[in-house]
Amino acid sequence: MLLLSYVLIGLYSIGETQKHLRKNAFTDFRVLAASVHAPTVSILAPAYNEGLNIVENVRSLLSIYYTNLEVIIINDGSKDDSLDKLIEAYDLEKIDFFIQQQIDTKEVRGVYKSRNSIYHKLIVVDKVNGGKADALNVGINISSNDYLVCIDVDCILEQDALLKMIKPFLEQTDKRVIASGGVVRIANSCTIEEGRLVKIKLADDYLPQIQILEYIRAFILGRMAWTRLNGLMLISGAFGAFDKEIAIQCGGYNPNTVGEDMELVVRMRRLMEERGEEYVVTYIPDPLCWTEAPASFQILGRQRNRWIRGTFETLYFHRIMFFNPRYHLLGMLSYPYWFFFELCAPAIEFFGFICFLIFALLGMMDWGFFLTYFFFIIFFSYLYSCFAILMEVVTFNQYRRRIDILRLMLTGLTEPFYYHPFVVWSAIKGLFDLFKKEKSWGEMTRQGFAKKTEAARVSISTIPQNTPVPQTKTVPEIPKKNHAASLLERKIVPAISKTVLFISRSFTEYSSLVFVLLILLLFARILELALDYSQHGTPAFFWKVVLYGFAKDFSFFLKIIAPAFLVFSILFLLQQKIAKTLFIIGAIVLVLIQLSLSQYFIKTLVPLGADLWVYSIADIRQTVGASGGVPISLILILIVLVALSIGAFIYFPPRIKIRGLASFLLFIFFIFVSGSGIANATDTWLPGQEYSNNLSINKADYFFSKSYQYFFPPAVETDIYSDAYSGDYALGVTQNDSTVFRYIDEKNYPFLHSVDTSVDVLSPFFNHKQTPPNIVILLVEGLGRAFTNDGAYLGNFTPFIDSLAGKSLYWQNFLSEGGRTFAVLPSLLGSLPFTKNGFNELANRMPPHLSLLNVLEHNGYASSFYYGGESHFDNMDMFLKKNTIGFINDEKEFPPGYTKMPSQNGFTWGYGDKELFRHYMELTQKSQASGKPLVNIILTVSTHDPFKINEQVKYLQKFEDRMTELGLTEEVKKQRRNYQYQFASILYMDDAINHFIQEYSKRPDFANTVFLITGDHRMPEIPMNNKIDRYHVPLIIYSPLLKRTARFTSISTHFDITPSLLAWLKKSYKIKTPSVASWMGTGLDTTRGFRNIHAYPIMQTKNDLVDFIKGGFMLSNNNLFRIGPNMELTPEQNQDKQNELTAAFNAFLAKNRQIQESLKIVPDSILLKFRPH
Amino acid sequence: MIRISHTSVKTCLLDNFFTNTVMKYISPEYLFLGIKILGFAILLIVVVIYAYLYYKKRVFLYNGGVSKNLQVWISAIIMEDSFESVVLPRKFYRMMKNPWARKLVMEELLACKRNFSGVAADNIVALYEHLGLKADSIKKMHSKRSWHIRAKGIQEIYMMDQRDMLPDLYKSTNSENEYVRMEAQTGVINLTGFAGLRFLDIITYPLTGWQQIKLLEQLKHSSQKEDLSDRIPFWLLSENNTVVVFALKLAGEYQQFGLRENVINCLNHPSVSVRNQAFKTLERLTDETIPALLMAHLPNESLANQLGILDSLKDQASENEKPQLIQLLEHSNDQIKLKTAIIIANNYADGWEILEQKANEIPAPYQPILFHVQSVLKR
Repeated sequence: MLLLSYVLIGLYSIGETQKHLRKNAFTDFRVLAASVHAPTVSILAPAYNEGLNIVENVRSLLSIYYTNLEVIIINDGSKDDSLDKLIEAYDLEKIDFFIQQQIDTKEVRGVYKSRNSIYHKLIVVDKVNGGKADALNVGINISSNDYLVCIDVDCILEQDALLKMIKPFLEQTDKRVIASGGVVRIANSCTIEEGRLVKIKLADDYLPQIQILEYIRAFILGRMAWTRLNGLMLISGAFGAFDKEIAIQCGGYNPNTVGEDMELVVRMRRLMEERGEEYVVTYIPDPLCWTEAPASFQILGRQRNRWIRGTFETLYFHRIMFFNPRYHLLGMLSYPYWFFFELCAPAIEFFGFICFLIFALLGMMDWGFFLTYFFFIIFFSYLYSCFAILMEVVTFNQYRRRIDILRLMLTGLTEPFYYHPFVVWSAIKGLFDLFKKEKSWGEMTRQGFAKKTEAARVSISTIPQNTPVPQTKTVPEIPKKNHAASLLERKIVPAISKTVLFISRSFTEYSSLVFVLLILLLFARILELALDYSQHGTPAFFWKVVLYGFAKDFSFFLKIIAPAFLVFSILFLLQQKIAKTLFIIGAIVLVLIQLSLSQYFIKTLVPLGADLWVYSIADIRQTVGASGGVPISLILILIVLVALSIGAFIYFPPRIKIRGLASFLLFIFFIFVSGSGIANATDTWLPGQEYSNNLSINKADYFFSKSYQYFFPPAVETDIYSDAYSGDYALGVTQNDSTVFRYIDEKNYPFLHSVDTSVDVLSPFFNHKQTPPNIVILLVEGLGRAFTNDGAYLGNFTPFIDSLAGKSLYWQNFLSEGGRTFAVLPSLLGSLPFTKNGFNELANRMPPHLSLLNVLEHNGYASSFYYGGESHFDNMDMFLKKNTIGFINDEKEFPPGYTKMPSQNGFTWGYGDKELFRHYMELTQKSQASGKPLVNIILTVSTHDPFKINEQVKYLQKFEDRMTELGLTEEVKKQRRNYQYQFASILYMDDAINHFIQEYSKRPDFANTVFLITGDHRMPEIPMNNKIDRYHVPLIIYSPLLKRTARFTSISTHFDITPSLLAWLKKSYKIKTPSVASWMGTGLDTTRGFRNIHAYPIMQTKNDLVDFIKGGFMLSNNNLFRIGPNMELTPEQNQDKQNELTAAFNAFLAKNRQIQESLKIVPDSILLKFRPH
Repeated sequence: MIRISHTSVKTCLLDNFFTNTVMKYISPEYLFLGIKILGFAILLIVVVIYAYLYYKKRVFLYNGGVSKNLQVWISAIIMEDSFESVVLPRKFYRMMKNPWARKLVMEELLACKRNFSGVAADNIVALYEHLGLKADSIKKMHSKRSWHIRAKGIQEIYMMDQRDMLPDLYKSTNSENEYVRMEAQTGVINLTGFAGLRFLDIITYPLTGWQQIKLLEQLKHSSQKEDLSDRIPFWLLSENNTVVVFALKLAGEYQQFGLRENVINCLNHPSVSVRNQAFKTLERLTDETIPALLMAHLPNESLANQLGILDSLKDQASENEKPQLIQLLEHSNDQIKLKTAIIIANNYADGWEILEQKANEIPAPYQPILFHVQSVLKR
């Protein structure tokens, strides 16, 4: 309703302003000035203690070019020398003047006219002080002309102001023009010479500047629209013209209100309405009158206090009109508008703010809704301000410089947060003062009209009312109380004062520094977005990313300001300089960390969390080195940024000093923000696509919060009252679950369960041979379904793997169990839980366990591991050794004659896939001759950052060719080229596998070999679509032993491979497998239709165990999603389901923690049974 | 049997409306969409502001450049004895192809025409015609787009003395748009002087106070004086009260003593404003019968008109009105008292004595009134 009214006001004002401007285009106002037929006009200018400028101000009024004019200056009992100055300057003499008491007023002491005929238009009235309304009433009584123009004496009028103001009275026909209003503009910083405005300039100070915007809005939009409706209820007291006859008939100005200007207009209108006469109140949008706006909060506060009281009083006096159809538009629209939107609005806003505080502190706030609603309102109000500026520019364009318009717009941005709250508060104080009117009514009638009057009153009212000194002298008190009072006076009060003073001082310094930090953080965001754009082009949901990004940066800023202030103030207590210096150093380091983390993200496309603390120094060195190290350009940027930051900290703080009320409000705001947790509200703001989501987050915030959680993990206690715990959700198992383990000894071995032999699903697909088959598991680095096989949403860039899938058992919706390589060996080979940071991170503490390797070795298999890189990475070698692997063949084992991948800054991951396969073939040629069945694990590395491969040029060309084969449009090609090295490495890997299979097929053991091909996780260096995308990999089981091929769309994960393989081998080849095991997986699902029968956790990074899938749903960071047939995620609002998944996930987490502490997975008795021979 | 009250159905419907419509549109998703739309609108406005400022600056710079040349050329043209001897540079003609430049030339010529007369003014008009600007003005005058274009066209036509367009101007003197008819009325007066006032015969729309002042000022500049004595009586009988008021002003301004009787007839006009103007006009057309006439009308008039009548009598009251004026001193309204006191002091030999006696008898308010009158009349 409110917004709609503003829209209507904005739109309605356009037509009226346009009409006025067109009218003025061919109007020569000079005609009126010289004509004897022009109506007679009296200017009424009340003056109170205006001695400083009164002579110049009167001269300015006398210089107005208008024939039928008299200028009446009413000296309202000034205490200064105003009257003497006027007498002297204009050669005044006291005359006998009969005042017709048409309106009752206070006593007139004398009327003066000039002896000099040049000043024949001037009349000066000296009267007893009675307030502005009373002074104006005296002016009305004295005036001998038909029209009254009431102005503030210190206003500067434009040359043609009077002509423009009077013209509407001459244009009346069937409707009587009873009053005419004019625009009041702000003259602060303008050049005024001899009472004339010489040069217009935008005010330099903040308060006048924001009031300029406020005035533009009110005068150009608001009043113009109301004029068009003939519903104007207020003509500014600074400059307005009235039909004297009507003004007298309605009794003149009301001295019993502080809003006499509005009250008169309303009363005149009411009179006309009650008489049933047609009338108009007109309004001139031209800038006619210039005045000085309050430049201090004190004066502004009093002004706004007075305005709201004036509004209340006026509306109260004329309450009969409220929704009274007798008063037509005045009663049905104008009055209600003023009542609801002008009088009640501050009270409603204030009430809303109080409610907001209470709700926020009680944690009852829906922050998502609140913030979107809040920003919606902010945006709307700013739009309204911008529209007002546009109207000003298109119409009168008083501020010619473009920079002034920009300043005005920037100032407008601060209004809702700084200026508007103060105005609302002043209005509230005004309303509060109204309730005290019984005491202060008499005083209030004596409210002055000029700023100086108010300033004088302020100084009087600020005298402490409860000074204790006289009391102690006059009132005898018992010694105890006296002692208490004196202790209070001597110690407590000074201590409190000192503390407040200290906090105030340190906060003033701090706030200026902290704003520079905010600027730097926002600058770092811009830099991050620019760097990301240069590397990866425009991200999806770009504007959301930008908006959320800045919001999240601001949230991060809000999170740190309060604790930082605590540290700062302690240091400030020691020494001011130390506090400032350390703050600056800290801020710069923070920004550098932010930028470094941004660089990491841009490189890896995943934000760095606490996994940094989990990797060993060697691992980090290897990762960073292999990914290109720290480029010179980044170092240069960082140096420049440091220099800029230091410059900013030197330049800005002395210029941004927030003091007084603003400082206090800011302090309260900071305290509130840190106490309420409002800054966390943006955590749930996600643009919509995984990569864009990650791009939008504040990397430093993410890193620090994850690190905090890592070092200070929250105590996990089962909340027995939660929905997730109660009912059917306990332990995460529902009655409908088809794959539920029968746990044997959960207390000691949480995951140990009996193994159901009927879970074999692979036998029906294989021909049977006498000797157990060789098993080759090909773990392809980063092989994601996003770019693999048909239906890949980025396009199929692995033509060979795709062709192989057609000849195989192919699970197209398969999932890895980790977002990085660390998880693949334990999950796939051991179907093992993650423990705290991934099973391998247990290193030497790794408990003995069952795995595909040791069970097969027990059954006579020979096992080995092949890797082109360093197998100690992620403790892979330790895990494999724990599983008594026969042979680890990594980078160190490659003989001469093999070429490593190209290095970057001296670092390389090792040997590329082609070389790895070549080496494998050479080595296994010999081992196959031993007659033992083989279980070999191959982990590739070429498709890892930095994607430097041998034959890069060739594969870059292949990438181009492949895009053409896929029929990608030029636009899509352009997007894909941002990741050309990634795609080239994928094509290289595909070629390598192709060659590997071709070569293998020539070997005799090929016929009895089963190949499993899967990805360790999806390559994150190409932007991902959603949370599950990171785990979405293919599983291909290819073998000459296959009876038939099949394609499955059901979901299974790495956890399911070992149980299924062992079940198959047990059934088909009678190998010995354990009857009880701790497999996390229940086995592969060979249902062709889309479904998920599993309930598994998935670990994103070594420190992020936040994802869980169960049935057709995924729980990620406590957000529930429905999994679609193409592995798309859609947010789901299903509390029942959420509870179910949360309970299941919690049940797993509890068991996982148990393992982590007890380090017991499988009893020794079972392990001993399956010791390798 | 379940009975559902109308109230509960209404409540239910309201609930549904609230849930389905209101709550839906203030959900975060819609609000976010709103933020995006508002953000876009803000950006758009900022772009428009700066585009407009850029446009204005371009116009300013262009105008500055053109004006510089234009002023030189126009000055040269004005100085020539006749337009035939003027040779315009080719650049001028090239420039005139630009609509901005044409507009600017038009403005410059109008400004010059306002300030010059004689040969210089003739040269300006000749240049206006020579450059084909008249066609532009006619086009504007007949524009159906907007009233302000038509009014502008009319202004250009009459400012450039295009008498052949008078029929068109006359047609517009009773246009339904007040600004078009005002310009047309001003135009015909400008071109034909008093003869142009014949539009008063036909206008049905009111003649505003502003327009009356404009016309009176325009008539002052007219060199072609014409006898209006046969037209004014006709206008004084007009059904359009504003025409009557204007005719009264004309009669007073041009001292049409022969029309005194016609003006006197207006004292009984039903319109207060007509009667008010009639009092003022009679003050200028006064003779010995008028004060008595005015005094006779005084009791029945509104306060404003009573004060108007007393103002008219300030210098012309005769002995015949004295008793009535002395009686008026007792009037309840102080303004009437004061104005009456001024008339008495100003017109009668014993006026001051009457006032002093009154002041002695009843000091309040007559003493201050006496002092005031003494002060005003500088006794």
